[in-house]
Amino acid sequence: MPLRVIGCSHHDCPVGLREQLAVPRHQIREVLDRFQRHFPHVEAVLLSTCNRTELYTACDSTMAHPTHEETIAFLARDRGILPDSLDGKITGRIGEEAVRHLFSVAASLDSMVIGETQILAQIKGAYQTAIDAACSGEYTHRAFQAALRVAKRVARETHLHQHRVSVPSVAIQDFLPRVFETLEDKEILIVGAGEMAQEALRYLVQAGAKRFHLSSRNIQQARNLAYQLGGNVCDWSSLSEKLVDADLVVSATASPDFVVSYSEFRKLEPRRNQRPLFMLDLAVPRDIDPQIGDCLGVYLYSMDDLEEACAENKSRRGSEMPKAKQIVEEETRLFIAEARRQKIAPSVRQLRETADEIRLSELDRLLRRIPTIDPDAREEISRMTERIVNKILHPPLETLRGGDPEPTAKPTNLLDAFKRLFQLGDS
Amino acid sequence: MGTWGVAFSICYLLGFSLEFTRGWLKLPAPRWGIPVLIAIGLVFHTWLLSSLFPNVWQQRRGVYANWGHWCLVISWFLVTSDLITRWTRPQHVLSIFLLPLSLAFIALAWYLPKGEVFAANRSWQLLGVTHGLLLLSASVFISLGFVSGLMYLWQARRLKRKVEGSRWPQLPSLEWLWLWTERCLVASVTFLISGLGSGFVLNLLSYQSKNPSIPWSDPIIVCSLFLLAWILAVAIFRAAYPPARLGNKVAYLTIASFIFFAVLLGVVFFVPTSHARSKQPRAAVTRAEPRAYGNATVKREERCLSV
Repeated sequence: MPLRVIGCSHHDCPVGLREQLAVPRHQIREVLDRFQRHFPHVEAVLLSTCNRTELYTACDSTMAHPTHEETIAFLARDRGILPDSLDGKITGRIGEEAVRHLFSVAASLDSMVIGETQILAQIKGAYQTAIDAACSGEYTHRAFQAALRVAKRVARETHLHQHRVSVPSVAIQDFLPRVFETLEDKEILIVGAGEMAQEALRYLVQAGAKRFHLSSRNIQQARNLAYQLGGNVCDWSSLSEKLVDADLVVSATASPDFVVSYSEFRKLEPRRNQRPLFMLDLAVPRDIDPQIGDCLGVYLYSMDDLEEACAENKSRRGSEMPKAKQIVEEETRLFIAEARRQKIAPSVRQLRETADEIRLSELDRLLRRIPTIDPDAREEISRMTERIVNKILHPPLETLRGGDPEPTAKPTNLLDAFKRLFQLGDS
Repeated sequence: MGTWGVAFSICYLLGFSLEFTRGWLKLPAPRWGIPVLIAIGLVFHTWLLSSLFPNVWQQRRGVYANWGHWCLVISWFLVTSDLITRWTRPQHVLSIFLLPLSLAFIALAWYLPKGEVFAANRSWQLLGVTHGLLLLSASVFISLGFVSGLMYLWQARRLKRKVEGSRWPQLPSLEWLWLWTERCLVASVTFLISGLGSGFVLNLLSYQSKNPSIPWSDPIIVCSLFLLAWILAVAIFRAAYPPARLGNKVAYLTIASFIFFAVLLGVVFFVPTSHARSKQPRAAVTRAEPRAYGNATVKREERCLSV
């Protein structure tokens, strides 16, 4: 399989370098265009996420396929980095190893958060961009479509994706249903507009939240978030008022002090009439005074409380890893075998046709010499020659197909030797 | 209750034991095993209750005019609620709370005298039947409210203490439990007021007909007055104090109502009272169903009828 990949990920590359190598989504097509200009006739797919940047390449001709060093040099130049600074930081994989890696990445076995589903969408996006840029071809099509299939199989046959592991997802999708039946009619107050608040808000919207208020010291950030996901923006000063009506509070600010203090909450508590209040404190240091958790009807969860559930879910996912890896291994083997079969098919067909021509011409010559032979004997002789040809061709063809008992023999070399031995041309 | 009673009691007991130990023992039993077991028990239970109908009709008695039958009916409703919630909310387990109460009512039904103990003439009257059915409905809702209230407090406690772990059964959300507790409380208050009201009217009519069956000083009437006072207090408390309509308070009210209900049942069963007692002579009762009684039961009935 002429697939190669070079790249770096969170496993072996510091975040600083990953940031330098990362290609923003809107620039991927331009990078692919430049790659095509440098290496015409080479298929390429560029996958760039916050945790990895990988360039998959494939080419029919070994001579035209850029080496790892050439691809790394191209990427470094394109990103404005000195190629020397990438020494030892970029990993290269070829053939079966590259396919296995692609399958593992698609199935989210190589992700920082194992089992997260975002990577599949990112791979689909990268593949689609390569198609749009006319950079994909026979090999990348086969490899990426197989990767998407493998990811779906892993999701279907294992519980890898079932246990949520990010703090906001665990809080909103696992803990919230223990308190609320529906979020549609609940008053939700989001304090802060940073990444954590955004993620939490996204999960809340997915869970059906409709009535939410955003409050942040940075009012513009809160407005932007409200513009993206809906909701009302309220002044920082009206936070206490909003707390009176709230059923759910999610707080994720970078404030060094409590945003909601115990004394402040006690003042407004009588106006709440002991209505249950679920409070999620997703900030470090904490935004909500932990003493508030002792108030009647208040269920306060901080990062520490949720981390425990996340860790439990992570370990559950970990226990699914062997099964998922086995699927990836099995699919890689099948994919490579299929790729090999497709590669050798023309040569096998050519050899069979040549052998058949020889057999038929020799059979014809023999039958002309013995004209008195009866039709049954003719038929028997024809079948015998067919059997001889098949038995002679069977071992070399099996070896080519991958049934070789000697694992060190590389199939590509074997095919070359095979072509030369039987004087078969390229087809 | 005979063979059918033993059969459904065993089914419920097994279902409860399996459900209770599921988190710890992790038996390789299929998920549908426990509901099927409970459903089989419910079929036996329904069969037993339906078999009582023809007798009731022929002897012109009120439907289930027997304390044992009452307990069996309440128990039937509790088990049916369990199966319905299993069907509608398969991810949650309510059996751990519903089945023990149901089994307790079945045990009470075993313990109570089996013969007819309600006054046949009164239980057959329209007002008497209404009085009985209203109080039976109230008993069912008080029991369901009690279980919902307990589950609410249990769930609230777990959330407060941040108890995690797959060993514990997953209960419905606090909101769902609160809603059910609230509905059960409202329904039980409504049925109790109507049931007790119809009882007072019934007794008033019996006084007017110069054939008073229950004296106004009867312990059951005094207890009923206390229960009525409690219900009115609950209604006023809920109207005047908004937190009493939310969260833990509703759960506490349903539990308190159940305790009152249990006290009332205790008075009915164990305190000398002429409420819901047959005026038939002892011999007539024992003659009616001589084979259904063991010695112990006869003794209990003798005690019951003699007071």
